[in-house]
Amino acid sequence: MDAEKRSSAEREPALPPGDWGKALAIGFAAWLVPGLGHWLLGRRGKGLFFLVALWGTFLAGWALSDFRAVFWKPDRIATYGQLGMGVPTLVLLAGKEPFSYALGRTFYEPTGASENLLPHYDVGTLYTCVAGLLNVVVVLGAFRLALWGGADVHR
Amino acid sequence: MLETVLLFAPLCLVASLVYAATRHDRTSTILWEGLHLFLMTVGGLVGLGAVIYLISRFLQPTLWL
Repeated sequence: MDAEKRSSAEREPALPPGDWGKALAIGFAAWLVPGLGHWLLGRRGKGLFFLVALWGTFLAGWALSDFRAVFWKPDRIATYGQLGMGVPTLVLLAGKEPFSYALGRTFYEPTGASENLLPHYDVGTLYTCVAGLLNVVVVLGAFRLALWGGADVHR
Repeated sequence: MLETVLLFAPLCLVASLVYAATRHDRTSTILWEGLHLFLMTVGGLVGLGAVIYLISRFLQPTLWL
């Protein structure tokens, strides 16, 4: 009985019906910082899990590529996937100085020669890209949670 | 081979768990669904690799061209 009550409570939308403005704001927050959308909607454990999992994946990929996998190039599809991560990608694309000063490195688009010398450059690109694309799924999940409730899809 | 598994298995595991967490609320369900997705993905890749290996090893499809 308690489980049924809890289950029906979990199905309730987190926001009043039709509150698209707040739902969009939640979605934007979830895009900027992975897990923040769920955190703001009261699913704090899940938000923390998304934050740790996605930031961990992104940072692991960035480190695997020797901190060179995130850069802007118009015809580079991976960059668009990485943009799904929000803040870290935006910071890396906009101003590289804080990170380069902190780590004593310069970040730049690898040339063909240096790219070939980095054994895990492609894997690092894949990690960062998948982290960004997973965050898009998380953003849509937070949006659904806000507007239509977020209980289990299948039981 | 081992390096490939070590590089890609964690990514598959994280992706499976995150995807499961977007669809379910209960921790136990998330873990089971994530593990199921992970095993199906890795098992499918290993199976596909085995099929490709067996074809290239015994059937020599380049001879068909």
